[in-house]
Amino acid sequence: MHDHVRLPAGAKVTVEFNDGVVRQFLIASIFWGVVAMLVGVIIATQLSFWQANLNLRYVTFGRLRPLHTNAAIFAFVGNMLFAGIYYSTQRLCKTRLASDFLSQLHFWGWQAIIVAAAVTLPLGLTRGKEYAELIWPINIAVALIWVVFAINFFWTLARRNEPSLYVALWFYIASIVTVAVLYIVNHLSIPTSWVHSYSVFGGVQDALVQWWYGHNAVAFFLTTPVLGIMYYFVPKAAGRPVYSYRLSIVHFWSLVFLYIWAGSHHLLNTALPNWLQSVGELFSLMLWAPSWGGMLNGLLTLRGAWHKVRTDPVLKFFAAGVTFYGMATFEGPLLAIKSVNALAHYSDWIIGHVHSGTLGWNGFMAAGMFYYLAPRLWNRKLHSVSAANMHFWIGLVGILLYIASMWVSGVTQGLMLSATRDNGTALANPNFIDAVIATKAMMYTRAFGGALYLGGWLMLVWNIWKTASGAQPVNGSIEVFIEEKKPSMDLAHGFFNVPVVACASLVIFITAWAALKGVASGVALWLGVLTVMAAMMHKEFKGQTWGQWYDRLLENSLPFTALTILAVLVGGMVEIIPTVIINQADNMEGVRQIPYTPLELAGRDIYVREGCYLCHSQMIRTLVGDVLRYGDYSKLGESIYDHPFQWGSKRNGPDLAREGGKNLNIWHFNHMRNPRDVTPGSIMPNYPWLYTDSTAVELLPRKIEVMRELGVPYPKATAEEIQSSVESQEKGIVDDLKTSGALIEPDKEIVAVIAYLQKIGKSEKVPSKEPKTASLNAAPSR
Amino acid sequence: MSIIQRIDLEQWQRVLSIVSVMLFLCTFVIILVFSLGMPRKKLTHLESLPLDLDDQPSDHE
Repeated sequence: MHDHVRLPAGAKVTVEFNDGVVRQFLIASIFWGVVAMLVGVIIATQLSFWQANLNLRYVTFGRLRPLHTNAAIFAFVGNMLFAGIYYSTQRLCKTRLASDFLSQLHFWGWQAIIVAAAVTLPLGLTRGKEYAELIWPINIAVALIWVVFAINFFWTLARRNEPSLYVALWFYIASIVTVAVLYIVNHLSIPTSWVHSYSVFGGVQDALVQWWYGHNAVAFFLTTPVLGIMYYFVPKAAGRPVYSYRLSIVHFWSLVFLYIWAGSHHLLNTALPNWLQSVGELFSLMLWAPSWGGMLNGLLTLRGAWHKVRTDPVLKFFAAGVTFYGMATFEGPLLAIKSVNALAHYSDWIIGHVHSGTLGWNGFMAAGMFYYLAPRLWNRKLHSVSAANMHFWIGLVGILLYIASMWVSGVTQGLMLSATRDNGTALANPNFIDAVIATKAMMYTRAFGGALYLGGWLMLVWNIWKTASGAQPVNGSIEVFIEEKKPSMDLAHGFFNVPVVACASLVIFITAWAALKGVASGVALWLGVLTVMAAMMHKEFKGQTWGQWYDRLLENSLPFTALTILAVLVGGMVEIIPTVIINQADNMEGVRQIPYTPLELAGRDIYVREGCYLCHSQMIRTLVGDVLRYGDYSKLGESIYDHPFQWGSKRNGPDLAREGGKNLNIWHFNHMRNPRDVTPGSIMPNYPWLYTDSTAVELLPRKIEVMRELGVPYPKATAEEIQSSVESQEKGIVDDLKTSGALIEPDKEIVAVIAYLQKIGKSEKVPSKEPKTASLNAAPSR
Repeated sequence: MSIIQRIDLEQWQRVLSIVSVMLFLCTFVIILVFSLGMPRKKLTHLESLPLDLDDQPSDHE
């Protein structure tokens, strides 16, 4: 019976769960998992053999890497999350999903988004921000479908027949609300056309917002919902309750509060203000504790059931998955220490860390969950338990080869590129390509490890297909007694109660004690002490009230959700609001970026389209190795007008922050056509289409207009003035190339790219607060 | 003057680091107090929620 009508308390009803949509998401996840892993193996092969780029614009590393990350995160893990959340939520709430229509809209809408991504990304249609590449119409679709998902989920919670919210549901709540906030803020853009936009944030603001989003996409899309899945499926598979429910409470709130602050650990030793780096580093280290609390809670749930791990592939995958979670959440805080990060950032160690999480934690939890669900969803025993066990071992070897090779490669790169000689006055390995060549064997090993992992996944595909093929799908059902509804807690009581008020007051008073001086500081300290004493006395005399408040919170999803939103918003607001207010172009001291001319802007957009930022950073860190190799460390003002920012996160090639003027135009002309002509051993693809395709100058008037709206000091200009500026600069570059023996028509994209590359790092000294008005005319080229 | 009070607050946003640590510590302590004070009966009920539902396959689609 579909439980659509609210029955009187005490009535007994049979509830049939909507497991149809669970089956749909399960099948979709398995399919997209193949796609994501296959594209991953392809790009790993491209890093090993540049020829695998095939000289085809649609399949270069720069265009396929975003396809791989988006497919892995949103298609593979996304569909897996929805399957697990919908299955477990119905059973924990003892009610069917609220709306069959919304469930189908959610499923088909999400698949349509994935297909749109799969088409647009190889076409080079991108926003140029990691895990946030999809163009703005698709962003709107993602937001709408996420709202559909949220309504379906919270409506189901509202109709539940089990008053208490089990811990898994808290993680789902936190994930849904936080992903919504993260996605919307980081995707704020102003369109220049139907398929292109510029991010509202630029330079350091964009860097912070991007990695606040990027790290918390990992946190609240790849971690917290899978922790919820862990808290449901591991006890179910083991036949044991969770090890410590008290630990799960502390785990949840600590994790949800701490994670949001950690994003700036992606920007250590950069031009990001020091206080932000310190906050990110400190909170990342603190994050180790709740993460391991969750890991231990998951592993110790298997106490008394360890003997089953030997034979049960589901428990094998869960045990290994949770262990990889523990590994990755130890490695993460370690990498967030500045001195470790100095070695690891921009290197393959980070790639190894990412994949121990995605392959080990996400991939293995997905496999375990699918092997658990398939027999129950199709009412037939798993086709081959031994094949599932073999999948586990093949996958495990694949992961270990992957991460071990990346550790070796990353440490090698870090050491080689930072090594100095002559008392630290010169680089020991001045040629970047030497580090690339030294790590080639690790590239091959990584590609092989990834291929093994894909092989194991194909075994899962076969096994589940054989299980489901010819079987009748079934929906679970239960009989429940409708419970009498208790008085609910309103939103106000969720916030205005002694524990929350005491906590907020204590924070204010302790901060005032630290920040103020003299008598005011003393008064603040005493007020803090009095607050603590008052709270302790209140608990002593009204102890039941405190416990009752939290118990009621666990049974009222609205105030629980609101407090969760507050916990996650605080970190973002404290980090982002001051950065947006203070770090603007007008406040830059020392140096400020000279805005791009129209031709240079067109060249930069080609650079973003081709994904060059995925291999080349533009951020010289405050480290000896970086400064000796690339020049003076990067200042905040030097990238303040970059929408989106181009600081980068990986160096498969050298940093380009001071590339402008370093090499002749003819060098860039030859380099882009065949990088090995100027750098033997290079793994960079050829870009032959840049010499045949024309620069889209007609888009520039709208682009310049949007840049003006975003605060870049361009003068008002007509389309003719812009065209004239472009042609003048093109002629200068083409004439220079001609003197070096290279002939090219001025309107070809390579000319625009050369213009951009020659401008990178050009800045002006800032004697006053007045920004210099940008010129449409370029400085004379070499 | 304590070590915390010697922090240079010329750039006012540096106080936010202190605010953030204080916020976390207060939240953590309060949640710890709650979790330690939860009655055993309630905990047993909550941790058994995934297990007390032995759902049976229903009709075939």
